[in-house]
Amino acid sequence: MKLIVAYLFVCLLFACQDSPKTNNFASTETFQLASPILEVDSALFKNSATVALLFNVPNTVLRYTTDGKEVSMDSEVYKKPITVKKSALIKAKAFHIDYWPSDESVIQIAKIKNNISHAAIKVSPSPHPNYSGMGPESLIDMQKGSIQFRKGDKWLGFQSDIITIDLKLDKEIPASKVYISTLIDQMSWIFSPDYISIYANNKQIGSKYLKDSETQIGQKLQYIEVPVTESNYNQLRILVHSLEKIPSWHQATGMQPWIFIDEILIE
Amino acid sequence: MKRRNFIQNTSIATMGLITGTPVLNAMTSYKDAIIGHGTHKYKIDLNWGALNANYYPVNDCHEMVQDSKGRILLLTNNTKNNVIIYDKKGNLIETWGTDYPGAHGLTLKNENGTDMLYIADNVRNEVIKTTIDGKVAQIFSYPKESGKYPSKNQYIPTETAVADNGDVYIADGYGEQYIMHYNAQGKLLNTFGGKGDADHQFYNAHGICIDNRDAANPTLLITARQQNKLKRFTMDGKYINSIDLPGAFICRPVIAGNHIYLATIWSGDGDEGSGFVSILDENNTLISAPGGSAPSYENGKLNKMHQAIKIFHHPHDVCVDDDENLYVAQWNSGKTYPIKLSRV
Repeated sequence: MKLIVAYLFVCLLFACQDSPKTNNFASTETFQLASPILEVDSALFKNSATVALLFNVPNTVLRYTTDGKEVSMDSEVYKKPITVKKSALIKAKAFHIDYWPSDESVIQIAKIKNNISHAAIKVSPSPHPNYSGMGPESLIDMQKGSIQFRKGDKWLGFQSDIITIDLKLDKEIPASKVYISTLIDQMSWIFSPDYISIYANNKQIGSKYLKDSETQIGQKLQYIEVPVTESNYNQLRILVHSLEKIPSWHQATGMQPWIFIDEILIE
Repeated sequence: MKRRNFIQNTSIATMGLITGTPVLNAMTSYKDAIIGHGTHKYKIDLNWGALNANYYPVNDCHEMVQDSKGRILLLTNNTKNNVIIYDKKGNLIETWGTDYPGAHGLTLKNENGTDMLYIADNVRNEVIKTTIDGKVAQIFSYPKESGKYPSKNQYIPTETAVADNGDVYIADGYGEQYIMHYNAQGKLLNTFGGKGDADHQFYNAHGICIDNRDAANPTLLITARQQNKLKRFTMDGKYINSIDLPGAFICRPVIAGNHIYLATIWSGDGDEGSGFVSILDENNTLISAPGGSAPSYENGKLNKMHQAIKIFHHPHDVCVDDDENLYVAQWNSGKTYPIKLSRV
């Protein structure tokens, strides 16, 4: 027993002696790396997309996955831009010997079947002038917005109970699903829609409740998949219903939430 | 984060005690973080200026200046103490100010040997000139005479710059984006800028300063924050040129020695929780970005900047003291006190 105590004492002595932390400066282990920037030439593509990782910080290693799995020390090391030929969830992380690894950067890229960019589109009410993208056509231009909605011209932002989107296609296309791509950034008052309903020729062909629209989740890009009666369509009316008000856990409780939409896809 | 590290390191140390010498390795892995690039690198003091928030609370720490006595003044929009005065070590000296709910811009000008302060208040929609201990000397109320403003509410000043001849320039950074040029008596001489994409216009003319590095030829440097640009104008409001800083949402320019320092409130694409500090040299080249990516130029163009390490949370101003250390005041950072960066 005495021996053990003596041994512990010696260890402690060494430990104290070896601790160089005698000033007020923060050590590297206090901090985490920022997330790498994932850049994609087109998040919606017909043939292939090129994904590049940007992180200009000396002595960092970037790793990524394309199968949706969490990035670990065993994941692929990023060396040059990646070519992707099918829909994928891409995740990336930065590692550095002195700092904590970054959070994951995530981007969803999707191969699309139907190009509807020639459709005639009407949106009512009009989006807020500060977030009006490149007009209603932004919703069918195959250009995804990023989570940083402040910069860029991809997002349409609304503060309304119901947003009505009318699509007149230039030809009939077979459809079984409609995707509505939206942004969630709850600290910026941007929430998921609560309910989506889809009509063709005044008949409801599909709908979806988003049961998690009030849940606290922070920031996220969201693809809402709405199954519709399988058929050929040449016109669609999509109604996007907002949450009635910002939920009680939020500092802006009771206010009208924002809805941000950047793209509509028909599959 | 710190707490998590502490627990983790403690458990490593405990494990070391059990298994023997590995404890030494665990301990030696502590090293001071050093941020920035090239000639401008810094160690980080996260605890500088931290006070008991029950007595000396802050909301946003908007701007900081050093006075001629060497003291560091912090402006916050907490009306319990709008101005908090520290020594360089971060010890509290005194506080004053309860009348500035929108305390945003703090500019110090030594006028004939006396330090004077200009507080841009974006809730009161005016700029208040005070003595160093908070006595109101002059008020620049909303510039009705400019003809640009139907009512006071459209005028939301964010910053003031004062020339050696006493002329006062006020940037309406959250309002209609005009720059007001007054003489020392408060007479409006000129109005320029305005909202828009043209060279001489602004989105978020958040900060303004006088670039007197070429003493014979002073110019105005004005932030166009949303455009990631710093725009240079003549003292009578003619556009000269722009400095592009892609990925850097810069606040006001601060001139110290031959360099320009700019707190950068967002970075990358305007990410939540981002930001760093930008330092430009005498050629207006970005040479160091503490907390940010390594600046690199290709064909004379700066590659897009982004945050590298999560140290800062929306830096809003940087103060450079007489030892070339930096004090970084932050916006919307959870009511934290400023961070000091010590030059290494």
